[in-house]
Amino acid sequence: MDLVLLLISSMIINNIILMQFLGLCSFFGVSTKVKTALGMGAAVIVVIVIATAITYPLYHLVLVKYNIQYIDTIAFILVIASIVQLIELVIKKFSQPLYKALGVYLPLITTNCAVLGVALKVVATPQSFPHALVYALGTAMGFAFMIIIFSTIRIRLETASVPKAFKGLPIAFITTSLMSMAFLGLAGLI
Amino acid sequence: MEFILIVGIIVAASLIYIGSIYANQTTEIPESCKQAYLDAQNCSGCSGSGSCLTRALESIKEIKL
Repeated sequence: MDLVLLLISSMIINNIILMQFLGLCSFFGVSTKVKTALGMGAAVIVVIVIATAITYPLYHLVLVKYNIQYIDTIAFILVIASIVQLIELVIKKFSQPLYKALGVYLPLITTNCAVLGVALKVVATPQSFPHALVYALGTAMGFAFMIIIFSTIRIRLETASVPKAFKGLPIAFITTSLMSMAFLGLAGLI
Repeated sequence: MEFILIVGIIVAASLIYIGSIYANQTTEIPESCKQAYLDAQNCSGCSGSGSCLTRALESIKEIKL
């Protein structure tokens, strides 16, 4: 029950895009089409979960053990970037359909602050490894959920009668801020 | 000791990163995935070629010229 609540909380109530404002670059950049949003969402789920599964033990078994926690950011950046490259390499080599579906979005995730944000947040709060993994999965699912919803909204925005100055990214930012305010109503539920 | 450990971790992680980039770049993108790859890289975010910032910088360059 505890893990289910954590999953729902990290996915919807503390949504990484609308409540924590992380990963906005790829959120706005790749949400113009539903197909690309689906691929990006799936790629983010895979990368965040694998990155957390590696950075959590690295932090507790190496950095905490030798009392050098302060290099966590630089170590995590390098580890995450390497993980993304290795995942892309393996998928490219062994599964063309999988590479076509989500592998092509992996280069965009190398610099996605949502991945680093989750890795840092997981180690900043004292929790067990299963809890960390569920939190990472929920957060990534929240990202995927939002980017897919937002891509469908942007299709409508393309044809909407919007003043010229607001066309494109400005109206997308305004729409996201309205969505963020709506999701603020869920704050404190869990 | 602490300094050596920090340098060791950062150097090791950097080497893995450089090695993975090299291995990734030397692995060809499958022919059937090339179009999907190009479509995916057409990100209109901060670093995308079609972003507002890039267009603004290009127009600034044109004005200066």
